[in-house]
Amino acid sequence: MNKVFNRGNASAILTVVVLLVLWEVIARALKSVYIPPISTIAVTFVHEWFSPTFAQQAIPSLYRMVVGYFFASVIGITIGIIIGTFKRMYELLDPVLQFLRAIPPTAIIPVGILLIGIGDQMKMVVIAFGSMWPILINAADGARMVPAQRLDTARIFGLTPFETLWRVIIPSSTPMIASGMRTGLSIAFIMIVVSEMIGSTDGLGYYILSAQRTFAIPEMYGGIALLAILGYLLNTGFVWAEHRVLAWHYGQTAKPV
Amino acid sequence: MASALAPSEVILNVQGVQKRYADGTLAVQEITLDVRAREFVSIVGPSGCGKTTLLKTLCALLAPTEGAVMLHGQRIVEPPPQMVLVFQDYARSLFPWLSVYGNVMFPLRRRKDIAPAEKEQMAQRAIEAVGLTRFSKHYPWQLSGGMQQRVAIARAVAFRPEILLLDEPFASVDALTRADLEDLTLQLRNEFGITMLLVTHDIDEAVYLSDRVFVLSAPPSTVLEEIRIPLAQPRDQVRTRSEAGFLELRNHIHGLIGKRKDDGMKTFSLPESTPALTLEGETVP
Amino acid sequence: MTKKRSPVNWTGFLFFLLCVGIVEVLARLGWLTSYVPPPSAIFVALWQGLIDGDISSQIGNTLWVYVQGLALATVLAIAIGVLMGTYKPVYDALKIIVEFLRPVPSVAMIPLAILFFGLGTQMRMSVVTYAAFWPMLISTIYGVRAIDPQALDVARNFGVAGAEVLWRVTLPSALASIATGFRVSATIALVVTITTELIAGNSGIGYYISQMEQADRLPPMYAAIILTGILGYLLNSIYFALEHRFVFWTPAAQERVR
Repeated sequence: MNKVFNRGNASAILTVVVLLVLWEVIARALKSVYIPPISTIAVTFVHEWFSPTFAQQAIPSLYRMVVGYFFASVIGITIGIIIGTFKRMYELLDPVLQFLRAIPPTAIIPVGILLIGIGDQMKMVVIAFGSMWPILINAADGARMVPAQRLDTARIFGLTPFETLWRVIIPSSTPMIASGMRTGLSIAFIMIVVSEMIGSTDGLGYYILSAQRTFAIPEMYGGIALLAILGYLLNTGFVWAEHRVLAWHYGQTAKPV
Repeated sequence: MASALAPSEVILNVQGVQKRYADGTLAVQEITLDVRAREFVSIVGPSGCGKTTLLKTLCALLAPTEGAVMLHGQRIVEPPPQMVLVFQDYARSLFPWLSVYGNVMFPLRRRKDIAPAEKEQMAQRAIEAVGLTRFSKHYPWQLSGGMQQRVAIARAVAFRPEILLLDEPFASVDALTRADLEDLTLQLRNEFGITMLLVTHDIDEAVYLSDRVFVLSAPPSTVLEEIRIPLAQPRDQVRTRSEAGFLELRNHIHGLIGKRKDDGMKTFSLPESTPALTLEGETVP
Repeated sequence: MTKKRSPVNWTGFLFFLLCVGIVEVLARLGWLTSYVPPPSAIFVALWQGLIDGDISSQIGNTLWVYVQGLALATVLAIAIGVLMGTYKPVYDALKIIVEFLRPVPSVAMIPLAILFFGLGTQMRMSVVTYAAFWPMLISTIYGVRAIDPQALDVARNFGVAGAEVLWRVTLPSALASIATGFRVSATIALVVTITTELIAGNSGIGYYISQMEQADRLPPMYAAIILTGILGYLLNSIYFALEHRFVFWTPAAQERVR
């Protein structure tokens, strides 16, 4: 625990505290509607988010995001591993995939709305479409870049193609898949906010935007703060999980061989 | 200890194997050789002469463009369970997500014909044979290069192959470790009765380890000579390498590899007047 | 042991055309929902939009916001990044802020930006700057910290000191990393520009897309969507080419394929 309270962290915390205090002071002095004092925001934050609002606004967002991300991962990993393993398929599909992935996923939202309407499914589909690409591409690259010696070793020991896929190619690709999934998670997070800003009647994206429109300014800041916290937790949580599952990979890359 | 020089049956027959790459270049022109049970055979040649390609062809990872590889009289088309190949690049062939034990058990796991308890024993025995019992739970990246190569060897040995093919296995380790690993392979041959087929560019190593050495020409390669190594068993790093016969053999091979490609294959044997060597009951074919 | 292969992926390209062809046929047969027009109609709409100026003017609007937002982000990121990378006290002081602000999706800042700037190009520029800032900041810090200490020693040996060291040694060494960060930032900048136009814009390609969607004019809408992809691809190619030209000393730039 000593490490947490060293000089470096002390100055970091100090900076944050100083900035917050400055904000409070300046806000009270300016008395502008646009810049409420931190204390007001904090109070609003606690009031809003430790209440049913959380269930009404935050949970639906998280739910849609998780479902969309789940499908993105499953589809992305499956297709990615398959096309990575079969080089011919990779060549065949490459231009089509490059074309689809070049389109910013947010631009797909209007299409989604037209085809599926405004609702949970649209958001999940759009999230899945957007976050799938880094996962797919990375899974494909991971499968493609399995060292030839590993594949040869599998053949020498008489592994069937399925066994090779399951016991060599997939474990070998997990670091790259994890990296793609981390990017995909950030994208999923962005997509849920955007899709709720464009076509929704609830959710965190909708909440922030409508707070701004109805001039519920402290609520708006509170919502943004909640998004920041959620984003930080998601990212940190993912990295933590990744380091545990892929301990072998991080040990390997850390140590000079 | 039964001398490996005692005649044993031929188990691997390489007949006129040729390998041409997809882009047309001829890597291996024509290789004919044979390997006997429990023998230690080395293949040496200048760099680029397609030794790795040949080895891969011998265990059917690659298909020969011409000729055939016969194991126990049967032509092999798929990598047979009796042959295992150990790669030079151990880092790329070991599985970093498995421990040492996991790696060694890997080929055994799919074998339905062996009881789990026995599989465990085979794996443990192989790990013990290469001297890594203390490191069973370690991961490959936690070990030195020489130790990693031992893991690769243990993994191969646990599979109980008849023939172990080694592709320049000690090229990536330092000289001291190399000596240890060389003796390890001799010991494995003696202890498990595995036939060894070693490809190397290190002529001294080939002469030290082998019962017979095949010398390849520059690419497109053929067999320049088949050389018997009648040095005394068991081999010893210090004693064997200072024998007069050792020096003569290695110098001869050095001379061969320096030369251009010969036509036809010769067999070489030491003149019978050479002291400190006895060729008991051995006839030169 | 490599096969001789044509550098152009003909099979893939043909397959792509095949897919487009299938969609065309299905759409014309009426088997696809009426919300998916035939690719030919989309292509025509794209062509006309470019010639008429409907689409081309919007491209200009988008790029106007994009370039300014990206430029500002670049300047800020490099300045702060060099400071943070070189001076540990600065890094220590700012690191928590970076860690907490970085994962906030830039789109969450849109309502905030609307509050301060209303609807318009300035609002969008500010969001783009915010979004594009972080990747470049991180890679600048990384690039500065990864400088070979020997290079600095050599410079000091030759009497280079103070601010000049920053300018003549630190920046060039870190350039490779900064360049990579720039490409990531540029990609994000384009997406964010278009996204803000979609959500709350009054000009630009994103705005055009939402307008066409509301007016039920589907071919131009799809045309604009595809255009964003093309635009992204073109810009990325330009950046790769520039990087290759100006940061040619790194192995990464030398073996560039795409």
